[in-house]
Amino acid sequence: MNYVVSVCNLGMKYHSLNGEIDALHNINFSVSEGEFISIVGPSGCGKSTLLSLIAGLMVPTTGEVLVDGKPVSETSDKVGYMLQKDHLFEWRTIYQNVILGPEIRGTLDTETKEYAMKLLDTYGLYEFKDKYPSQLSGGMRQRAALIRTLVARPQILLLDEAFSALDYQTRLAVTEDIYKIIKKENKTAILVTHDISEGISMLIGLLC
Amino acid sequence: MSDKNKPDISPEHLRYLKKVKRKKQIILVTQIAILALFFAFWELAARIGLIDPFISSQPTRIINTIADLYKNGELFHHIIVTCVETVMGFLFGTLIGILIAVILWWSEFLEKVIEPYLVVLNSLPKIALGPIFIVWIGAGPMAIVVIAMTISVVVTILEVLNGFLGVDNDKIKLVKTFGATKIQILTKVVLPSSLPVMVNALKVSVGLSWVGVIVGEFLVSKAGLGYLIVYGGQVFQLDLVMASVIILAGAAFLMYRMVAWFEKLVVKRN
Repeated sequence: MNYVVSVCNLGMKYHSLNGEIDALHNINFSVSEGEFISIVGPSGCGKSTLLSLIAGLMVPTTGEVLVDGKPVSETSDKVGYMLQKDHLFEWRTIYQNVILGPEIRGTLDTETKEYAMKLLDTYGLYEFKDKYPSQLSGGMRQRAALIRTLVARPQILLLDEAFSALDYQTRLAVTEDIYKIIKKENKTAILVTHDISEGISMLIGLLC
Repeated sequence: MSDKNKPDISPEHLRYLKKVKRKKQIILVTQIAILALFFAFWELAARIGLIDPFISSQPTRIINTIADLYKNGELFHHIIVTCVETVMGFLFGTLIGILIAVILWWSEFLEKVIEPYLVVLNSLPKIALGPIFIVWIGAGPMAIVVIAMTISVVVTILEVLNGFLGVDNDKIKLVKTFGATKIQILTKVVLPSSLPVMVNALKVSVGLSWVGVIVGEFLVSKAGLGYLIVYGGQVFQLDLVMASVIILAGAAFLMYRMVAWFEKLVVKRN
């Protein structure tokens, strides 16, 4: 069995003047291709730390993370990270927001631009591509944020309570929406949330 | 939503719009009336001997003074000298201030080291440095520009740096997940999201730059509105002083409007 993500003996300690905090301790799990797993836990239990480690934003104190069989040492385009809020840049149009990843990586070519257009078209944002984020509804913004993550063509998506900033009704709709998109694009995904119902609604494999 | 989508406006809404417009007109008329009354009363008081026009001047004498200045061809010379010094003062102040703020944002170490010095410089009345600049640079327009710049640069550094440090950390995290370098974090996130802060700093700088220029002209100058004011005071020609102050008020107002217009142009979205 090939695992897309393997977490081995992962541990993370934060240091501050008041002492050290053991955020993660001896975490082990693996995710296979196309799997969608939810990690549920209360605030402050180290969920976001786990995602940051998988994304390569931080270096673990102990253990290691393997993405696609290779140890993670820095951020890579294999991993797409979706934060709690959409964080679309207000000074960029939706299209400019969506191509942010390739633009930063310096991989923005015609093919990527076409892919971005195609994704915008498939998920109903094509007419809004020249609008600014403030002109879009919460659900549409969240979809634009997902497209921004997808345009970078990650193998694995990390969702950090990606929908908790939305009101309940919008969230139900968006959660379903996003779930369908992720399934359709056949991405591996890890969702962390403090909301058990959200975790279960996206459930395929659950880790508590 | 734009108005194009709803061509027919209900009569209630029309009444509401009319009311708002009317309110605005009344405010404008009152503002003009206050100004007119003030000058009318001033003129009248001087005519009937309630106040001594030698000390307090009077509107007609001010107008005559301005007309004389215009006839000598001096009027615009003085206005332009002061305005150019002011514009140079706040432009340099803002640009150098933003540049230093970028450097301090870049290096946390430098920021921590410089912090107490900035606090002292901020509380120090920069005017006190005037004579030093005059000695160093020479008694001329350059010294005046440097005084004006010094006043606005410290405030700009503090305000813009605060804006930089206040940028949402998650926005920075987002571009980091795309592998952004520090310079990309600066150009893609920090600078664009701090644009409103920077324009606001520019606005503050304009006001401070006027202070710097006028004080500078008090200290050393052969031309400019500050020079006219100080000269008028020395030869006891209050007409000249008052005329200069009124021209100064008009110029400062116009410049402020221009910067406000620039702000509207740049900060379209919030």
